Amino acid sequence: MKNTSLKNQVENKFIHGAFSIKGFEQLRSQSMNNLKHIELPDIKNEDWKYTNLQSFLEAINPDGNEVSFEIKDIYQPNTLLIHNGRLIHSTISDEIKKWINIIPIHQFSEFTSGKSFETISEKSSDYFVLLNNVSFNRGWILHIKSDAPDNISLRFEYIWSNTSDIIISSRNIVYMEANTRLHITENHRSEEQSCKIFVNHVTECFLNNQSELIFNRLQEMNSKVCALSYTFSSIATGARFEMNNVIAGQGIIRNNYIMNLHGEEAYTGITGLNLLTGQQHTDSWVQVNHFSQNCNSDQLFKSIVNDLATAAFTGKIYVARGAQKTNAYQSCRSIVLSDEAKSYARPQLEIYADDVKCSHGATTGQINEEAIFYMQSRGISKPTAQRLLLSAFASDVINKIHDDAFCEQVEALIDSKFSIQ
Amino acid sequence: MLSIKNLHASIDGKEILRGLNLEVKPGEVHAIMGPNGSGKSTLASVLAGREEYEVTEGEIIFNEKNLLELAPEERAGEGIFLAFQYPIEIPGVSMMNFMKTAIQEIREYRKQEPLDAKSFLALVKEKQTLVELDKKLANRSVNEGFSGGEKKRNEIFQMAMLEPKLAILDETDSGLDIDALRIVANGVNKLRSPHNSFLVITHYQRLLDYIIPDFVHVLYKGKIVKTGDKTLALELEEKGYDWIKEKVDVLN
Repeated sequence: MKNTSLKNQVENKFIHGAFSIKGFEQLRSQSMNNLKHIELPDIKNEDWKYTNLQSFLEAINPDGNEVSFEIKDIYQPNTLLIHNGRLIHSTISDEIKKWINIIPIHQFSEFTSGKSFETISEKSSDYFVLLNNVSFNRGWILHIKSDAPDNISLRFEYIWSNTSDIIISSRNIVYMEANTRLHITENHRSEEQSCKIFVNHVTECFLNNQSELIFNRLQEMNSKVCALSYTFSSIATGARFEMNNVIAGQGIIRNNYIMNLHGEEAYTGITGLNLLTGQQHTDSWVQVNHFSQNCNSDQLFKSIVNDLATAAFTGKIYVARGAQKTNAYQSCRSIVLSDEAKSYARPQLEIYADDVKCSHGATTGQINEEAIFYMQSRGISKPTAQRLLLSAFASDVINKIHDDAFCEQVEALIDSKFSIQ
Repeated sequence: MLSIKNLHASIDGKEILRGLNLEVKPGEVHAIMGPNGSGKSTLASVLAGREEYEVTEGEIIFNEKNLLELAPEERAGEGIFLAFQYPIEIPGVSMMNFMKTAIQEIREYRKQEPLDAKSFLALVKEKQTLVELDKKLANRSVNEGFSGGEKKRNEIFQMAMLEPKLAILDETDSGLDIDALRIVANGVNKLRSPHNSFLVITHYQRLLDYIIPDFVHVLYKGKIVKTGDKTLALELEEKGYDWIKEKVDVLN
């Protein structure tokens, strides 16, 4: 009963700031209807068994106020500054503006210009996706036009901050025309603050034939933030989507990746590196759907978990009937550094084709004390030895991220978060 | 250089070393032999500072320093090197990075200037030739995918790089074919000097054909029960340990 009232409260809090957006009327009304039949997920729900959002949702008390963000820093070229999901500043060069269009989500109809457009999220029956469908009121559409040069690289600086509790529901769409390439780096951080922030953020990525999207994301929020993110993708023939996600900082983070391989020779690679300390909680939930034959996918998740932190992973590989010659791999490895740290891994395979190669593996271990002693016996101090081992553990994830500045940032985080004295 | 007096050490409450005495002077090569379970590897581990072993009595003085008060890395800084019986594989850490870090940290401990990249590479090249170590191995992760012989040669390579005052070779000859044994021994012999010493722990006399010891000690039940010169090793090869065991057991 308590749950029903919490569900009503949550929905009211979300819908409070929503407004009608042309082109999304049907999505909104349909989702509103579906919401009625779905419970607010708790840990009895299989998909949510590792992450309990109820206490955070109970405690958050938004008053409807939202402060604007004062731009102080000077940003490097081709950077977009996003505050609470809203684009507030851009340093995109005029040259690049010729090839990309950034349209606020409430001007969605400008992007579709009357043509029908199916979102990927409308097929989802996840409670928080439905909630996002009915409530998103910020975000944008990033449209990469045909014949764009293949070296466009954009940096998104996300800042989550407010002076009172706030619930944010945002929606982004990345639309890549055939044969285009794009490199996105997202850097998420929150300001020092005492108020609670709940983020429900959905990104939908459309990769037309032979397009390539590389998406690196670093999430470094503080303990007052609870962030849910959903990354949906529709990957067409010969297209490639690489998503590399690094989590540091504090707070509760649940990242969902729903990757749909729709055309032959399509590829998706999802990597996650979780650097967890304190009471941090992360939950990575992956579903890779092989709907077409001759597609490849790779999932590689690694976690270093210290203190009271928790890392959870659920990774599903779904191979549809007829999706022959599928290669789908999944690996999840964790190192726990304290007695109280927790790591959960749940690999799932659902295969309806008979000529496929699928693998999954999950390990949880501790730091190799023998290796530490071996290094010490060569004059390497214990803290340095541990740092070398942890960065070695993370190296295969880091090696997949072809972005030197980003990798350096991650290496520095490993050093600073896990240094022992 | 090294002075061990009445050393008692135990692991998990079980006493392994029971009053061991040993004096090593600069330039000397000491061989430690003995039957299985006599405490040879324990001695090596205690000298290197392995945490699992508890020293319950006695002292170890190394160049006027109380070794037992030093962390393993400080012992390495003081000039102690242990060639492992079973070298550890460390996936993801390259040999070069490993060696560079080790050398820089040791130099820092000794308050020496850091080694520049060019000198480091020159040193690697020189020492690789010394132990006939394939150049490709230096680019791989530490010991990962190395054969048994390569691992042991890699130990000697590391020893050559770090130029210790006292090198402890813990059954470096085990699992080596005759060619690898010769290469390892040559590496050791080239590093011998009036300033540094070796403690060679071995089961077999074979290694001592190549590395000629000044002293041969027999370790039994945690104590050195017999000391001689290189002929003692030959005698042991021929007669085994039983005659020594019997003598000791009768005395007890």
